[in-house]
Amino acid sequence: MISRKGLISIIRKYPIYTLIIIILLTLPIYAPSFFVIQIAYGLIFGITGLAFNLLLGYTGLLSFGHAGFFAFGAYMMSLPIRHTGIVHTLEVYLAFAFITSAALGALLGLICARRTRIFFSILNLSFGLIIYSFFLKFWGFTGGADGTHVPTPPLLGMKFAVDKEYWMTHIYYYYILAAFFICLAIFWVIVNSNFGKTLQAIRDNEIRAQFTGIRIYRYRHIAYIISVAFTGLAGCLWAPLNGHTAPEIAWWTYSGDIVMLTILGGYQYFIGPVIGGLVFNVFKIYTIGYTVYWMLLLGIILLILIFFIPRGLVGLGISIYNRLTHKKGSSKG
Amino acid sequence: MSNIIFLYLISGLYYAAYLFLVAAGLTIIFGLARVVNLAHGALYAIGAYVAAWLMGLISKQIPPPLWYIIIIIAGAAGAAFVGIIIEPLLLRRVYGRLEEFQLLLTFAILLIIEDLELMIWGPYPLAFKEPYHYLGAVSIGGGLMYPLYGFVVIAMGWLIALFLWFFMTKTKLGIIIRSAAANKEVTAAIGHNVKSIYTKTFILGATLAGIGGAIVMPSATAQLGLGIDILVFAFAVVVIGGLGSLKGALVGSLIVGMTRVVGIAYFPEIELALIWLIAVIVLVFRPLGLWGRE
Amino acid sequence: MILETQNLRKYFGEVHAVDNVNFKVKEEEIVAIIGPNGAGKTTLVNVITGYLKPDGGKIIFMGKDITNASIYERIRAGIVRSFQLVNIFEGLSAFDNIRVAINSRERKEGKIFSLIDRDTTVTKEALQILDLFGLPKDTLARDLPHGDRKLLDVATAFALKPKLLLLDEPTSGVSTREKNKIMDVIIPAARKEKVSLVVIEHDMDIVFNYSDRIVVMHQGKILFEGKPDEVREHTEVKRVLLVG
Repeated sequence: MISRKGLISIIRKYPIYTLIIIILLTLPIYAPSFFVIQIAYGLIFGITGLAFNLLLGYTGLLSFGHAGFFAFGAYMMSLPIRHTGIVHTLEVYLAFAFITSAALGALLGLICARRTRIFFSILNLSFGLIIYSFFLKFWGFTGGADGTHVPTPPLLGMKFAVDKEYWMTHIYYYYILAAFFICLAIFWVIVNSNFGKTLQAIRDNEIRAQFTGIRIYRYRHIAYIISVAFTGLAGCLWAPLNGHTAPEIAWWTYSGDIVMLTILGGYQYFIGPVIGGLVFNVFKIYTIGYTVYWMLLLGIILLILIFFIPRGLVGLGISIYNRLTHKKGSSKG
Repeated sequence: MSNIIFLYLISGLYYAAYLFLVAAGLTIIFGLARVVNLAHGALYAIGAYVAAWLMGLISKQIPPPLWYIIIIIAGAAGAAFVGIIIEPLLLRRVYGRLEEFQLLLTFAILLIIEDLELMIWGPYPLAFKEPYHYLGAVSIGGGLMYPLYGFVVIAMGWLIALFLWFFMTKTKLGIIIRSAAANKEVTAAIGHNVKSIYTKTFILGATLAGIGGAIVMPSATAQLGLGIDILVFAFAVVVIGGLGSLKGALVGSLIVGMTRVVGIAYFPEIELALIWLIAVIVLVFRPLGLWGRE
Repeated sequence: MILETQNLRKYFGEVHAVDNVNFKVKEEEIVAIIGPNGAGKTTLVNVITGYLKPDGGKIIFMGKDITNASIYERIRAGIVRSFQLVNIFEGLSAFDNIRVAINSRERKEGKIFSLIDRDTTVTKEALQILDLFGLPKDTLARDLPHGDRKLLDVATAFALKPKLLLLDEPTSGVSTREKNKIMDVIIPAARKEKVSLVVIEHDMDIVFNYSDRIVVMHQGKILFEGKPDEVREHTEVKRVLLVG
C-alpha cells in the first residue's frame, strides 16, 4: 500500500488529478441529480474512450464501429433479462458482456487485424452496421426499434430499497466510479506494460516491428480483443443507467462520437479520452438542452479542434501549464 | 413469375442508378485526394433539398417537361456550390494529414450540413412528387405496374456512367485527374495546377451526388438524416467495388442494388446486414475491394 | 560458414537484380558489399532477410535451408537487419526502442501485466546498450539528430543479439567525421559480441578501413571478392566503381 508520505508526494505532483478525483468522489453531495447522472454517463464514455484509444492512440488503428460494440455489450444485459425474465446481480451481466464481447472481438479480429488505415476503419464501420441492423430488424428477439427495457439490477448481490433517482445518483454512481477507476488502472498497466510498448512500436513502424521479431498481426488482434471487450463492458454498465437499450446506439454516427470524444480529450495522452468522455457528454447534453442546432455547434467545435488544438484538451492544458511555468517541450500526461 | 423477376431487376437497377451517382463521386474524390468523405451523403441530401425547394417555388410557372431538366440542374448546382465552399476552405487543409483528422473533418462537415438543412428548410420533409406522377406507370405484365419515372432514373444513371467513362478517358481534364491520382508530383512537375485539379474533382464528385439526390427526390422526399442513411449504402458500394475505382463503383452499385431488392423481398430482417456481409466477404478475399488499389 | 546463398535469383521483370549469386559469410567476419547504384546490393539483403521472396536458388544459414522461412523465423534464427532509410520507432524514446527489441528477443514482448519499468534486467541491459552507442535515454526517437537516429537503428538491431547482422548503408547521410564515429561503435561491438556483419556501404574509405572482406556487385552478379588490398588493386573493379 501507499504510505502517507507517498500519498502526499503524489498529490503534490499531480494537483489537478487529485482535485478531479476529489470532485468525482464528493459530487453527489452537492451537485444536482441531473449533473451527477451526466457525469456517470461521462465516466462510462471515459471507459469506452480508453478502450477505443488502445487502438487509436497506442496501436494506430481508427475504428469507426465502436458504437456497435458498445451496443452489443448493452444488449448482452438487456436480452438475457428480456428472454428469461430473471434479473441477476449486475456483475453476472458485466462478466457475460465482457466475455461475449471478447469473443466477438476475437472473431472480427480474424478479419480486420491484418488491415490498417482506412480499410480497418471501414471494416469496423461495416461490423457496427451489421450489429445495428441485427438489433433493429430481429424485433422478435431484440425488441426492434423500440428496444428493450433494462430493469434496475442488484449490485454485488444487494438490492437497494431506494427510489430510482437516489439509486442512480448515490449508489450506481459510486459503482460506476469504482468500475471506472478499476478500468483506468487496468489500462494504465496495459499501456505501460511490455505489451503496451510493443503496440506502440507496431503503431510507429510496422515493418521495423516485424524485423524486430514482433508478430504484428497477433498483437493487433489481442489489442483489438481487449478494446472490444472493454467497450462491451462499458455498454453493459451503461444499460441500467439508461434503463433501456435501443439499436440507435449502434448507429455509425455514435461511433463518430466516440472518435470525437477521444480526439477532444487528446488521443496522444493516456488520460485524454477520459477527459474527453466527461467533457463531451456534459457539453452534448447541455447543448441539446439549449439549442436544436447542437450538431452544428459540435461540428464547429470539431473544426476548431482539428485546425487549432489537434492535441486535444489535455494537450492544450499541458501547453498552457508549460507556458505559465516557462517550461519548454511537452511531457506525457 | 417472369414479370416478378423483371420487377426485381428493374428495382435493383433503380437503386443501383442513384447509388452509383453517390458512390462515383465518393470514389473519384478518394482516388485523387485519398480522403474518405463522410459528408458525401450530405451533398446528395443538398441536391434533393435544393431541387424540392426550387420546384416548390417555380413549378407552377414552367411546363412539365422542363421539370426534369430543372430538377437535375438545381440539384447539381446546389451540391456544386457547397463543394466550392468546403473543398478550398476546409478539406484542402487536411490533405496529407493523419487519417483520423481527415475523417473527423468530413464528419464535422456532415454534422454542420445536417443542421444547416434544418435551419434553412425546417424539420419537415420537403416533397415534390409531380414529376413522378406525371409520367404515370407502365404495365410489366401479370397485372404489375412500374412507374415510368423509375426508368428515367435508371437511364440517367447509365447516361452519367457513360459520360464519366468518356470524361475520364477522352477529355483532357479527365486524363489530368487520373494522372494526378497516380502521381501528384509528376503532374505538378509538368506544369498543372494540382490545387485546382483537386477542387475541380471535388466539385465533380459533389455534382454527381447532387444529381443523385435530385433525381431520387420526386419518388421520395428530402428529409433530415437522408445524407447519413445514403452514405451507409454508398460505402458498401465502394468497399465492394474498391475505393478509387469507377468500374468498381458501377459493379458495386449493381451488386448492392440487386442485393437490396432480394434482401427486402426475401430476408427483410437482414437486408442491411446482407449488404455488409457481402462487403465483408469481398474484403476478406480482396482487401482493397474488387478493383481497389493501394 | 554462417551464411551461404546458392545460385540466388531475384528478377524484377527484365531487371536481374540478383542473378545467380553465391554469397558467403564466415563466422565473425565483417563483409562489405559495394557496387554502383542498382547493382543489386539491397535486393540481395532483402532476399536474405525475407523482405522479398527469391525467384530461385537457396539460402543456407548455419547449415539450415531458410529459403522459405518467414521473417519471424529468420529473426529467431539470428538474422537481423537495418534499413537504408532510418527505420526506428519514432514515437518512442531511444530507451524504449531498445527495450522493445530486448523484450522481443527474450520473447516477453506480449506480456500484458508486467510493467516495462519494473523489469530491472531489461532496463539494465538497455542502459548499457545506450551507453555503448552514446545515445541519450529519454529523447523521443523523432527528436534525435540524424547521426543518432542512424546509431539508434543499429543499436536496436544489436539489442536483438543477432548471429548475422546486415546493415544497409549505416552511415548514409551523415558527415565523414560522424561516419567514422558510427563505425567505431559498430565494429568493436560486432567483434565483442561475435556477430558476423554484412555492411552495404558507398564510402570507400569506410569500406577499406573496416572490413575483413569485400564483395563487389555489378548488375546483379558478384564481380569480384577479396581482401581490401586485393579489391583496391583490381582494375576491373575500379572501372565499375568509377563508371558505375
